[in-house]
Amino acid sequence: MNPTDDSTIPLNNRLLAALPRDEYERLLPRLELVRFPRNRVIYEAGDAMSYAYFVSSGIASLLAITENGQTIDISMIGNEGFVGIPIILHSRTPCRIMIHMPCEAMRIEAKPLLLEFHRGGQMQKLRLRYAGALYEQSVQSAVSHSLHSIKQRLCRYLMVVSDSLRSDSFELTQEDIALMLGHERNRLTLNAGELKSKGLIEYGRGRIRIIDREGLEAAACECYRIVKDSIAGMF
Amino acid sequence: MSTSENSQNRLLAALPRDEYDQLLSRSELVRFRKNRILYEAGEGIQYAYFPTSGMASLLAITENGSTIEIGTVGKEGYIGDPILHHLGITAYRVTVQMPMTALRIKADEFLVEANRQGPLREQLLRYALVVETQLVQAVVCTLTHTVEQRLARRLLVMSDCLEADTFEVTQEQLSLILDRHRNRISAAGIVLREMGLIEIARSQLRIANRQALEQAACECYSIVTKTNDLVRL
Repeated sequence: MNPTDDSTIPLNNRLLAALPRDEYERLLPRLELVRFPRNRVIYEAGDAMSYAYFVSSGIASLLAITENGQTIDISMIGNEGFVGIPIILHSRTPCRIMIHMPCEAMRIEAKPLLLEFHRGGQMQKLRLRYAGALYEQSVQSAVSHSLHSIKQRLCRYLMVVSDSLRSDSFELTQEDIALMLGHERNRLTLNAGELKSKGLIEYGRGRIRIIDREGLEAAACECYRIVKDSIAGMF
Repeated sequence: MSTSENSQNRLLAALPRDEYDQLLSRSELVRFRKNRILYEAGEGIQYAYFPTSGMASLLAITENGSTIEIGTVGKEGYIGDPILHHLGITAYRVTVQMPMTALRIKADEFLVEANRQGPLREQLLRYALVVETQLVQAVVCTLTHTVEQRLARRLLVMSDCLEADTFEVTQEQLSLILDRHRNRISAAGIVLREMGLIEIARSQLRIANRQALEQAACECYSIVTKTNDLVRL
């Protein structure tokens, strides 16, 4: 976790990239680049946030925690978003926030973020809209959990990961997936095996490769399309 | 209208007098019957509502048209989060569950008020945590809690909204939260009755032992109740 020098800061986060130049330049001195490994917990459910993170690459996940400690995925945050909505809402996070795919992010302290937010401007609108889009994603997750099959959800999940990483091939173990989808591993294995035999994906040695994107998308629940459209509508 | 404490929306009640009056001057008092749809999923939004009595449900709609309840709103909250978030449309349907009175204000005027720096804005932003927490608990609840636990929770929420221990409730209303288990609601009701927690006569339900009913409910009830207290200014 080393701050880098300003000139090397990449603008991979779409929320930051969508800001007008003057707003972005005001934020720039406050941003520092941080890196997180997989499974790092950034915030626990109930925490107030001292930093916001604008994700440049990788995926952070929002997880609900049940009373017996089981985790349930609520939504994912990639380079279209940021971790830190509770800061602008003057509240806390109802979810655990954990790194799902190794992340690079620009972090900023809560105070300067709030200051900029309260100036109004494009920043304020974008943040609020993103908060709404993330909520919509969670609504879809409620639908998905109660209606869709593990297979549909697995397909959707693989599509989202692939979109976020902008790659058809990524490192991912069944354990990682089980942590997100919350199903017993043997049921996941069974479903992954089926996707493999249909020629949609390949996997082995901790890597997954998508072979037939179109086929995988068709096998995913409609949540994939709904959430993707909702994010696209933001920018 | 009366501005006495018990007829007020609680979010508005926390505002300084001048802010409250300002908002009031832009709003009108409306009454809605049961089952009236206030927001339709995917459609534009015309009004924000601050309930002063009754209750509404936030419902996610699935591709086959069934509904999943993702939250409830009574006088402790407001309906209009998507306006504040500049979304233009809503991702969920809002239906009146228990006959409701509310102050309503046109969406564009609401935005003018909500965009001004001050206690109203802060209160509305903070309330988003309640909406979000209810959604997270809805997922947890669907996946991990029993029909009895969920029915107990629901009856407590209704009782809180109506500020009464006796109220009218139909199977149809309860089936909303337990969409996939419609036929198990009566059975769950019988369990709660035999435990002495509730009494049912015709469509009137009475909570006979509130404390025990709270214990029988899943933790979602206390989580959401605490969050409501937490976000109050």
